[in-house]
Amino acid sequence: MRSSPYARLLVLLDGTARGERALAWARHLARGPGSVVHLLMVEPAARALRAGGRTVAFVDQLEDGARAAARAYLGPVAARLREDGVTVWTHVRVGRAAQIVRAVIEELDADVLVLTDGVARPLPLHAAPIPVLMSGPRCPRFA
Amino acid sequence: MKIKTLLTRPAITTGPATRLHDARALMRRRGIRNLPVIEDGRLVGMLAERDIDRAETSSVPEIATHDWLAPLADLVVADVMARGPVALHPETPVAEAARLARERRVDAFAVVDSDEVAGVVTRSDLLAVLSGLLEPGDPAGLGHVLAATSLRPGARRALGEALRIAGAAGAAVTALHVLPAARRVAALEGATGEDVVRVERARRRVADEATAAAAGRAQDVRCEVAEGPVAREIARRAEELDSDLIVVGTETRRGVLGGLVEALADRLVRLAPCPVLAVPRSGARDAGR
Repeated sequence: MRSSPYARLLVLLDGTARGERALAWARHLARGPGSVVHLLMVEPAARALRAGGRTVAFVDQLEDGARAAARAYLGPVAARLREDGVTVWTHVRVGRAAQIVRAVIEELDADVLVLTDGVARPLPLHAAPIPVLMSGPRCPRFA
Repeated sequence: MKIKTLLTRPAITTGPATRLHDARALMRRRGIRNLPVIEDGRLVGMLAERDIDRAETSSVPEIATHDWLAPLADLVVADVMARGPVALHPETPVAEAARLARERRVDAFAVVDSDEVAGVVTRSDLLAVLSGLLEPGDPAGLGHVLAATSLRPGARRALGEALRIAGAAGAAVTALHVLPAARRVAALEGATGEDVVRVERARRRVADEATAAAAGRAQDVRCEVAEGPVAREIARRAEELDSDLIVVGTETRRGVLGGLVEALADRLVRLAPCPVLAVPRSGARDAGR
């Protein structure tokens, strides 16, 4: 069994099939004992929905809905990784992606951030505090 | 793809005089099912977990519980190992190994380089490659890592990261230093021999850097110097080398008008034929906190 170069991998997903392409590399890099993959979805902060001068949906209702949808999406994705023997945790946060990704990196003490180009990039590559693995449009394995 | 990219390193081996009980314990501890058997530094056999099972137990309950099985506890590896195992060279193509596994019904090959056992390749490893080919989004293995180096601070960290990843995967590493195209133009205009000196200085520096980063690791780093538009040149070379991963350091700098110049890593992601790992300079993590 090969060892993994990273113990804690943070994968940023956006709910699209394109974003899920990052999972292939995360799965590959997480091979070996002791590695954990953290799947993160960041939902933008909601604004109260008003119609005819009345509030028809409050911020907490909208954000709860977004969280529930994100969890419903992440559940099967995590299950597929677990079937491959990967230890997986899922995280759903609401707010500004750049701030949240930085906070989660620190909170989890993540070793590497994995994402697909095209997923809303939370911060420029040169501003990331940890290594960022990204596949672009010319990468045949992900195109 | 060569089987050297699939090897479990370092090779875990046993000796012919080792007790079966100890060999099984080693297998369980390391999570493996096959052990090359070494005597006087040479491969003399292969021991599979299945061989131990066959020796230690009988499927017939009356026999399995009979007293005469007790002496089996004293069996050693040489008593049950497969002698004259098929050994492959690390440069053997995966397709060739798969063909041999099928034709000779072999579950695991010892991989031998210059009479030394370099590792083991199992049928499962070969199936993993097949799985990767059938499902293109699933990388089957890292065969080659291209580390883009520079003379700027922090490049060493990117090279170190490339070596670490390649080391874990058993991949080859090329350190590539690209000189910007403008210098090449200057050289073509015959500006003096200064540019030639600069190229040579860069070549030596990148080689020294790679050698220092590789010190203490059992990895060979091939060093190259190229000229041209940096991102394009790195992407082009990655394509030629069939690289599976490009590792590059990240940095920010300001252009003549004070605006942030797009970082190399950002440009490279759009051009690269494989994923790009952007490694921040040392201390960037702390700065970000």
